[in-house]
Amino acid sequence: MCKCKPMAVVVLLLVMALPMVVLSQTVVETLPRQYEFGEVSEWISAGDKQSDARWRERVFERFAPELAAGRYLKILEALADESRADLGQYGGAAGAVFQAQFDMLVGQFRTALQEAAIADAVQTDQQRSAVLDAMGTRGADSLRPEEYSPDGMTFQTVYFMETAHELAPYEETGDGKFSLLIPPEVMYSMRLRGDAVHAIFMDFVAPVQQKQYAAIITANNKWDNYLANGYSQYPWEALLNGWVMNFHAFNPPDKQVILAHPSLAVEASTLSFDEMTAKEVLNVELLGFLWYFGQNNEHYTGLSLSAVLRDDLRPGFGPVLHWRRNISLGLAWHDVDGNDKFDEDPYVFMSVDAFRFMQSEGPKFRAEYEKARAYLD
Amino acid sequence: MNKTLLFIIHGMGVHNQGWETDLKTKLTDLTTRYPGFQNVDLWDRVELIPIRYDNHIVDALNQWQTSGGTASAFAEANKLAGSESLAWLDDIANEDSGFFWSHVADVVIYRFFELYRDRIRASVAKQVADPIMAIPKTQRDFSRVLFLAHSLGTSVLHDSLHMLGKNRFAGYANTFSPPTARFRAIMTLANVSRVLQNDIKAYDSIVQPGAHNKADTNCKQFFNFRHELDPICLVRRFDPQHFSTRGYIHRTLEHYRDWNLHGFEHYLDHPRVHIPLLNMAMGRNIVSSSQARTAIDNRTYPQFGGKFKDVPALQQKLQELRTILSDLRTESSLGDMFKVVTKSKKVLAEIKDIIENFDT
Repeated sequence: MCKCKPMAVVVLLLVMALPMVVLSQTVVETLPRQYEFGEVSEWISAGDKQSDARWRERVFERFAPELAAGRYLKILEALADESRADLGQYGGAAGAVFQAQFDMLVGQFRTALQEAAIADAVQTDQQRSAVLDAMGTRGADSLRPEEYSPDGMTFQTVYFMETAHELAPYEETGDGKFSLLIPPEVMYSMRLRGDAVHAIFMDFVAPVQQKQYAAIITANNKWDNYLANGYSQYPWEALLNGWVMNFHAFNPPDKQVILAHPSLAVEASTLSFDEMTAKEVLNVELLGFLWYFGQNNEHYTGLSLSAVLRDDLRPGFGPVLHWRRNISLGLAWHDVDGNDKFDEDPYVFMSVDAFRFMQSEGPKFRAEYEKARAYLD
Repeated sequence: MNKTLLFIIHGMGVHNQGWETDLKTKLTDLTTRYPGFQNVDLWDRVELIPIRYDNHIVDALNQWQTSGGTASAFAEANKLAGSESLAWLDDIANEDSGFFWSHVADVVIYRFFELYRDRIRASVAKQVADPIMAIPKTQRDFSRVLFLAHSLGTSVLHDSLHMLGKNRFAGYANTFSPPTARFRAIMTLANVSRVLQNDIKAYDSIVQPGAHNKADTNCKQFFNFRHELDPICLVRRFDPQHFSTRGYIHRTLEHYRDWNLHGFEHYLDHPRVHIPLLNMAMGRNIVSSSQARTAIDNRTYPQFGGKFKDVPALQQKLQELRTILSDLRTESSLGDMFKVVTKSKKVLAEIKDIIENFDT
């Protein structure tokens, strides 16, 4: 029985094997595309797209019934088995590492299904979401190469970066050539399989992603209706509402505080209908509140307390009702007879959100004006 | 074959529809420096997608101007008390409203007006999601997505991508973040995301590079470029020490081509900036490592060029002047002094010529 230390034997075997390893590495002047960091569809030939069963489109054809039924685990298990047979025929450490990662990914998916209490097929978007939550850091990209830049300008691929199983597919020899550390056929297979798994995962997440995209669109519509089409805000109001409202980018506010908000209004006395005269006034809403409603917050309503300023009377005070976009109605009590009491009948006033009015009605008035001018000319 | 999606996001100021045209031309011009592009058109492989957010800021300024201006004009005409208090709102959105309203206001509004900040974030997130979601689901690939952001745009993009990748939409697991979605790269020019940070901290967000097995990192590569004399990104400089060393690349640039050292195109002109961008956009090292080394060599790409091309000559003349003057000693004769004056006069005239020829 040999008395030499096991470690020494390992080192000896490695030293003996080294020339074989070096000799088995291929040195090329141009790096084959499967070693570059670009995606598979950028370099796979049209012929292989048609005939190679590993190409994602062929995978989708082969597993169409399982996809339709939501049996993603079955698909992943079958692809892992195919990969094992495929990479096994080439041998080598890289294929084995890749296969081990593939098996771990499938195992993680299986566990995620169990955690989400899904027996076999994924039926609902909630189930997809639960599986995604349970997947941890493994997912669509797990079997695809990553890249890093050694010089900050060019890029090199690497598998399973920053893990104990990191694999470098090639290295530069220093004379502009490349030493292929993973055989081209193994690399090719790994790339196609990683790409197919990515596509399967993207199919899996798509319904959830679509829902999230719809939520992003809705949030933007609500923002438009709040800031672009809603009741205008002065800078101090925008600051205040930013501070007091509870919202975030994808959950726009549906309420609005009005504070010291001046706008033009037309006021009329309610003393006598016959003697009614309208006068332009400045309506300053001292404090108020608006509520937005509708599917995309396209409507609002609200109340405020106003001070009405005009040059011929002392200031009046009263409530304002915002009952539809752009138009507000209010009542104001002025101290008409100067007895320091607001005991006369109120005036009624209508206020216009000047900015919104110009925004919505301005083009129409301009067109009418241009038409009239053309007629007069 | 799907194209690489190259999103570009602008900095301060008003950027109208089509603002990306000049950058597209610049990138096209840059490709002519490299042999790999001899028979390859960058735009056959890359889709340039401009992102805008200035429109929301302009809307705010217009709104304040129109509402405030109308009210203040009425108050003034009717001699109402406090009529002057709104007058300052009257000219903020005018074209000639000055640097503050055209540039600084962007920063102030984004930093302090939370309503507009979140509105902009939602808008940018949608502008990112739109073209990605237009791709058929099984071909949707976030590693085909690149971002190039400049100045204020770095902060806006940072916040928007963080929100996009961290928000739980309608209670569902987020599919715009790893492990489902990891962008190929984010490139920032004159990064101000730290000085403008508010509720999302630049160093703690998911907008950082990471390997596939790293949660809470939304891109593979993060490039950060700063010009040595760009004042915009000097304060609270973006300089994360804890980012992945494999994925984070920082470069300080020292090139001089245009008076606006902060300019988007001025940054882009440097090979250290555009070579990684072109390589990532093409999905391969179309500019090889040896070509890249040559491109950044001082002989190929001198420190001074363009409007600064005469600076080396000026430096040389100043050195000549120093050498001439060094001949004079305290004990030198009057004759020596006249000789030096005559010699230095000639050099000074040459310096004058150089300065007069500067293209301002």
